Amino acid sequence: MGNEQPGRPGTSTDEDRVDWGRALGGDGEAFGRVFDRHRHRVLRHAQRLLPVEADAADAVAVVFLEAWRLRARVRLVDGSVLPWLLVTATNTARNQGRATRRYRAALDRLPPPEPSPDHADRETDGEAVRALRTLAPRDQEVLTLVVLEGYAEREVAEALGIPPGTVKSRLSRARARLAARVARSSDAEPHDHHHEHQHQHQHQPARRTRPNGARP
Amino acid sequence: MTHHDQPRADDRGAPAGAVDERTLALRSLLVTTVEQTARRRRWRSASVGGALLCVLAGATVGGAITAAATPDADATAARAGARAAVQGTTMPYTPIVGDPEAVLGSGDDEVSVGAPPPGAEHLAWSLRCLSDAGATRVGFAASEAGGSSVPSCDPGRTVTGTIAVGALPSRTVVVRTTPGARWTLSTGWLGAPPLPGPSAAQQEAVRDGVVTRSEYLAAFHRFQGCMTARGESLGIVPESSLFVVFGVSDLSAGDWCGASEFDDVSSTWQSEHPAPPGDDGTWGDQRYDPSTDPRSAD
Repeated sequence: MGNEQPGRPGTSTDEDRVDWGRALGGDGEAFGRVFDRHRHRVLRHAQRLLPVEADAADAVAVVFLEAWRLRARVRLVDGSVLPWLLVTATNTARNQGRATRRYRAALDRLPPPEPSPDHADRETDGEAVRALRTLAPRDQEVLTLVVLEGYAEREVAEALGIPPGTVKSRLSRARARLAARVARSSDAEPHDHHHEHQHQHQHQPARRTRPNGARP
Repeated sequence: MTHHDQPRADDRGAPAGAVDERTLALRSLLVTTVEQTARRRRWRSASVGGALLCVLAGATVGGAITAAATPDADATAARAGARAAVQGTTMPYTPIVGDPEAVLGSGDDEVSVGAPPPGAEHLAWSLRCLSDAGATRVGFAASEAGGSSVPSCDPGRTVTGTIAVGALPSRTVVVRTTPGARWTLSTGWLGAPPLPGPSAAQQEAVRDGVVTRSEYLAAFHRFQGCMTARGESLGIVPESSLFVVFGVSDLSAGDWCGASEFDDVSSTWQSEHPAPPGDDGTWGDQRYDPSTDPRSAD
């Protein structure tokens, strides 16, 4: 886990390119380094879309397992695999039940996620993020990559495999829909609802159960 | 876009010792999954090597024949072998878009490859050393990314690589090697491999996200049938082990039939039966016992 150390400016995409190539050749440690580099960002994004901590932790595992299963289709954008991972996280969050079913056995073998230090400290539960969860996946994808992750429209176009003009128009509509949802939410909710909402999430029980000797 | 990949301040402070147990276990699972896939595909990989050797041998023979009839032997051989050299960087069935080119050079140099033609998805290069050279690298102008290198380059040795068009740092290939060392650089554009999508039967098998033992074996039987129909019978393959193990002599047929009938089902089955940490590579060889696998045994 040496990549927990700070990244060196200007080298991360190089490292992704090299490690991804090595992983495709069967180098498991290289894939591990890709995981080390991007797991925080994928988790942060999963937390935006999945308020229950155990669901977000499962989503991270599914995203990286899917990255390997679908490795032939993974797009590197300017040498980085992160945009593809974030898009996959969005899709995983949307189809959480189906996505995790495929990897249920693997997920059940993992230790349960550690409790989040304080759910209220997470950056993910502002009004805009809660509104983001209610948008269609296409809107979530483009808003996440452009607004939250800071990618250029050209890069998002590469990641999603669509023309840059489509990104622009999709982004414009997604922004409008997000603003409308936030405005509607502000009008409808009492001022202290936010804290109440967070408190409820904090006490969601973890839903993972251990199999009883089902695995060899 | 480099800055996007840098850890934010809250990521950077996490020392190695603070990594939680689940993260370590997940990382171990991912590493094992990749390594197991590589082991399972070893036979196919061997076939790749064989295929590449054949292609490269063809390039050498073709170049030698042409060279004997011309005064500028190396240049003519390079041009004659460019297509074979480019094909040798990839799978035999991957189409080459446009006409590959080859240039002769020595020491450090830069070669423009121009704009990718319509339909091109990757740029391929193959540098062949013609005289003794030390550390040799083929990369791109304005970036250290996307290149490949060898610590030393004897005459006849090649340095090859491919890069996605969307990931090209520039349109200039840069060679860095020992001053005076002579080489041939072949470059060409590759199109999308003509592999089929998953068949309706394979899609149906993975549709609910769970692959049962009967679905796994049925998919393998369809794969066997596809191979036989292409004249590449797999022979008798034991089916009692957790993961079916087989060899493929024709890589193109194997990839074609795998994409159509088996790859997605096989990946899902393997994901449902992950190897434990520390597996020595024999996990998939164990006899399948349905009594320990009630969820997938149907």
